[in-house]
Amino acid sequence: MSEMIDMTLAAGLLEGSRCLVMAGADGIGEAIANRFRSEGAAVHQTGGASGTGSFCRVEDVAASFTAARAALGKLNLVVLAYSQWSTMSPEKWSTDRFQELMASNAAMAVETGRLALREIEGSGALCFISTDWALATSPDLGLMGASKAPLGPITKSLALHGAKRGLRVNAIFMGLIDSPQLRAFAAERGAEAGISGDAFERLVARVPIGRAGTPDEIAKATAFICSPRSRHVTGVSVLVDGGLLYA
Amino acid sequence: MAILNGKRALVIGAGSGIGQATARLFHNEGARVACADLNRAAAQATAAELGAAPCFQLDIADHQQVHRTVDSAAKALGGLDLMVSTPFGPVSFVIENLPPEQWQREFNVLASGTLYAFQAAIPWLRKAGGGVLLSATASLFGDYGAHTHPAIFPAYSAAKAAQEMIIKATAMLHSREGIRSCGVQPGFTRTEGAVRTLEENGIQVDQFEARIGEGMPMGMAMPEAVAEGFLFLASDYASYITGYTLLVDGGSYAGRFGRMLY
Repeated sequence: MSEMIDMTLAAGLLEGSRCLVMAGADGIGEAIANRFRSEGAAVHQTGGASGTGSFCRVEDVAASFTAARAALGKLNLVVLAYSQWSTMSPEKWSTDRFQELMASNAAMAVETGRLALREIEGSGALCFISTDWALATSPDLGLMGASKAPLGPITKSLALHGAKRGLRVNAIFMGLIDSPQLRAFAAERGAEAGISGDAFERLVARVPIGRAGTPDEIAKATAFICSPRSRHVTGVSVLVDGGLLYA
Repeated sequence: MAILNGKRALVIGAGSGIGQATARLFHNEGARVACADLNRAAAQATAAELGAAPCFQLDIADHQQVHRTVDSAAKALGGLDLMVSTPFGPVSFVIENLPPEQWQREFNVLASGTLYAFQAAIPWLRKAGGGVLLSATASLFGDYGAHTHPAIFPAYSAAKAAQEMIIKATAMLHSREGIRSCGVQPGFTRTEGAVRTLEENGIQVDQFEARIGEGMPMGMAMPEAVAEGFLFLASDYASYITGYTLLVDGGSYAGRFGRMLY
């Protein structure tokens, strides 16, 4: 029996995988790339702190696939971890800003999905990173949430398309994650609203689990859902939020 | 290192199907597992396979029995970190002529049993400094109504909805203590119980699978695949997940079992 145990995780969850991670500035993509490497995947990362330039344009997605392929060979995992965060009062909404958010948060997913279907031969996994604010919101995060909301049907559509050949497609919805970027974002929001004290801690107090998540907690869940240990999980929205939304 | 190394787990429903697959998987991932099932011989068989694991006969609808069993299992394991409950029993198909005793039995096995098991396990998980409560919840029989006659299970579905709320309420009240509470929603899974239920109603399982066809994009789940959902949620990989139920259905619900396909 001990032989069996040794075999199970002699290697990481993603041993032998070749993965493209597209990261944004919020530290989530960075954490995913690091976690995937520690789980045994070969990772090509675009964007984020250690990536190649500031990555947020839909026109660059195809080049990212090409670069990842050149670096790693044929891919079997793709993670789109890019998020553009933005607040705007409904009174100040502009269609220009909306289109900008849709281009980054939604169109990126469309282009990534299309290219992943082509790049990944046979089985594999594609995962999108979204946020709870695409499912419920506060007044000034409506446009940001709206631009992530398309990931629901986009994920399901790709999942249904890829199911027969074992290409699984899922979305991770994150709650309050402790990263410098999201702390700064909360502080900015707190200042705008004239709230004194630690704006981030005020938000965290509402989370049923009683703390913010770490970027690696998003990354760990993403790794398991992308791994062969989730062979029948597809078309699913995984809430990694300490119970923020539903508990 | 195995994913559940050193964890102590009680699996209720370990005699067959999803519970049995979960007990095996947890064992293979390094957990020490205790097995409970209504069917004594089935529980014993799984326990023997796992190397003389602690083993209990349990009617999950019996409040006192559940408490006794959880306590005994925790003592035998030297504490408790994880509990999985996967109850199943005979199901009814009607509303108008549903006998009260049948309704109560189904509701007690699925919903009350989950509550009793969680209640009994919480003190042990607290003593361990935290842990995870898991239940097989709202599997999606209800959605098969359009495809199969007469596979609509009103009492079963209502009890499963209650289970969902028990999971969420437990998460709300106990997550701060480090006790996470989550569920797995299996799609239609090829278990002895499911096959028998279909056959009792004159439906062969292969016929059923063919009938749903595209509605189950990755086909019917095997219990081993559903057990992977429990492994994920029980593990440190899900350390920031609570009050959540994971679908393990091969994409079935994404197209509402084919109802939305055109």
